[in-house]
Parts: sequence; C-alpha cells; structure tokens
Amino acid sequence: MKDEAAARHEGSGMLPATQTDPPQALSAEALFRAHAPFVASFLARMGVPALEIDDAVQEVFLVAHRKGGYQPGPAQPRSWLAAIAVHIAQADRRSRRRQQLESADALDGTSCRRPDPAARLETQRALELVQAALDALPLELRAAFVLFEIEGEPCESIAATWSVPVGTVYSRLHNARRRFLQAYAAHEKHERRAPGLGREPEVSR
Amino acid sequence: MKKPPVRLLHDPSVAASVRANLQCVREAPGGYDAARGFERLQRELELAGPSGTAPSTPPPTPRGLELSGLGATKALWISGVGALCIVAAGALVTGLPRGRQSLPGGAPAPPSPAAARESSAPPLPAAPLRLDPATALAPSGTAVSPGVAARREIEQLIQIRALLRRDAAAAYELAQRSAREFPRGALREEREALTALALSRIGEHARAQEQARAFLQSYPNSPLRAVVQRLLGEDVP
Repeated sequence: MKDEAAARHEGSGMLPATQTDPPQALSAEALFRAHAPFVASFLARMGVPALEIDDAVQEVFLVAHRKGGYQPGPAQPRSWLAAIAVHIAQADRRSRRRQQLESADALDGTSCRRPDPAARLETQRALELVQAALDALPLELRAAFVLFEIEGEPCESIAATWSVPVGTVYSRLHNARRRFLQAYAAHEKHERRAPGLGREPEVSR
Repeated sequence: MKKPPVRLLHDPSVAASVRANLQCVREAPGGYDAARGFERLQRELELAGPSGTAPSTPPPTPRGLELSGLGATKALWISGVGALCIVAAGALVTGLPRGRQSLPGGAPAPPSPAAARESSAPPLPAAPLRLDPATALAPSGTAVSPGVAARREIEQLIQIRALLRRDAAAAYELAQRSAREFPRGALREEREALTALALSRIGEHARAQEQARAFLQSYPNSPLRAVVQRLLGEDVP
C-alpha cells in the first residue's frame, strides 16, 4: 500500500517516497529528490519559521552529505533525515528563543493550495489547530509524534534512528499523544471562544 | 508500555474532528519549492567537498578574488558556519561574468551548472570582477589585496547571518557597516536581503518593507526573491 503522506509529494516534480521502497544507499542529492518536501514540512512542524525553512532544508541535506548519505539499516531514510532535521530545528530554536518570531509563521510552509476558498479555510484551520497542539510538545515527543502519526513512519524505524528500544518509542508516543490531545482540546475550546486566535492559549507543558 | 500504539487516525476512541484534522494535515500539500531547492543544493554540494568527508585541511592559498572566496568558504565551513558561507561563495561563483572562461592567475573557471541554469540572474559586473577602491581598503585605510577584501566581505556576511538568528539589531548594524565598507561588493545582493530580514525582526516593519521593495526592484530574479517577498506579505508564485 502506498504511503498516504508520500502522496503529498506528487506534483512537486520530485520522486515520491514510499514506505515500500527497499532501503538502499542514497546520496544527498537522491535523498533530496525523494524527501525534500517531507523534510520541509517536518521542519515546519518542528516549529522552524517559514522564512527559515529553505535554509534549514539545505542544512539538513548538507549534513546528510557530510555524513556520507543514507546507508541501509533499520532506520528508514525519512526517519534518518528527521533525526538530522530535529538537530537543525533544535539549534534554530535555541537561537530564536530571544527573538520570538511569530509562531504562525511556521504554518506558511505547509499552506494549503486547495482552490475552493472554503476548503482552503478549513484546511488552514486544521493546520493551525494541529500545529498549535504540536507546539505544546517538547521537541523529542513532537518528532516522534509527527513521524508516527502524520508521516506514517514505523516505530521500529523511529527507534533505530534515535538508538532507543522500540518500547521507548511506544512510551514517547503514548506521552506525546496524551499531551497533544490535551493541547488540541484547549486550543479548540479557545478558538470557539475567539475564532482565529487558536494559537494563543498557554497549555501546560 | 510494550503494546504498539494505534495511530490516532485509526483510533475510534479519538474524536472524529481530531482525526479529520490530522488527516487534513497529512494530506495538505507542502509549499516547498523542491526544484529551486535542488538547484541550490547542487550549487552548495559543488563547494562542500566529497560526500562523507568534512573538509579537514585549509584550502590552498587563493590567487584571485573568486578563488579567495571559495577558500574562505572551506575554511569557515570547518569552523561550523558553513551553510551561509557556501551561499556567499556560491554567489561569487554564480556572479562570475557570463563569458568568463578563466580565473585570475590562469586557473580554469569551474563550470557551474547552477550559474548556467540561471539565465535570469541579476546584472553582472563587467569582466573581470574587480573590487572598487573602497572595497580594496581595510578599515584602517591600508590597501589590501582583492582576495583579502573578498574574504572579509564573505566573513561579514556569515556574521550577519549568524547574528540574524540571535541578535537582529546587531545583524542590521553589521549589514550597514558592511554596506559602507563594500558598497559595490560582490555579495551586496545577499546583504541587502539580510538587511530587510533584520529590519523585520527588530520590528521595523515599514523600513523592512521599503528595503524589501528596493531589493525586489534591484534584483527581480534573485534566488532570494521568495524570502524577501514574504516580508511584503505577497504570495510567492
């Protein structure tokens, strides 16, 4: 079965990646062709602002290049790239902490292209709500959550990427899921009261 | 917890609205321009050295302006600030005049596929690329070689970029200083884009927009156009 998330990459002119592709050694260029849109949206979900996505994507693939590209192993290429992306996002976060860039900015990288304005609005609202809930998660939990719940990566691949037992991934996902739903409910409630301000409320971290 | 989790999307105990929104996010098309990103990556990989090996030795002593830029790039890559440096040096490479076949000193100019593809690059200086007198002077007024000046301009750009991430006001000040020092420097396009970003980040939105408009007017085909356009709240085609 073709991976659902990979379908998003169709139309980008780049090779879509599927979970069924057998892992093989991949150069940075091959990785980029197959996974650049994934890396861009993953970075956006990790909270990297839209203005910095282009640079951050380049950094991820340059690091991949310096590491000698992807080598076949238990970690799938996308999980492997995600681990690099988390480091980049972490560095970006630290340096941005004092700047307080508009958090809504991070959504631009995944803005909806649906033609129908109502549908576009609906998608934008979904993106904002989900992103707001993701923002409430620490980066480590957020990465696991995004990879598993949104990108459809297998737990085994996530575990291999971070060199942790698969049980640890289950545990992180369980924790992330609980906190995500809690934050989601808080933001949804807030949005009902003040539409359009879905990212405002402080959710306990 | 040893049991594999059920994905939220497939978990009936989770509210349908949450699952619908997650599905929506999952299917939302990305806005990333992969084709343009790939071109940029190719340019940067050309300068990054072979795969799997971070540059470990200082580059040879540069003989000319462009080679100096690349040398500075590799040296600074080692110090961990590589990404922007590569962009900066890439700009030097792509900034070579079109018909130019060799670098100062007779070294053959490395073919740059990215440069060849960029048929709509901004106006280029007349060959050979030379720094004006202002750019060939150190702050003290001591004359320096064009290579040293170019390296200094690149280093400044790297500093601006690094500062932009943590201290936008300092980034802006340095950009202004660099612009005064290198009014016709080879990296002015990148510097002007960073200036607009710095202004935006320090909250000078009106000035940022003014700077962004001036940039877009001067460099309508710049690879940095999309980033600068976002400052104006314009959709990037």
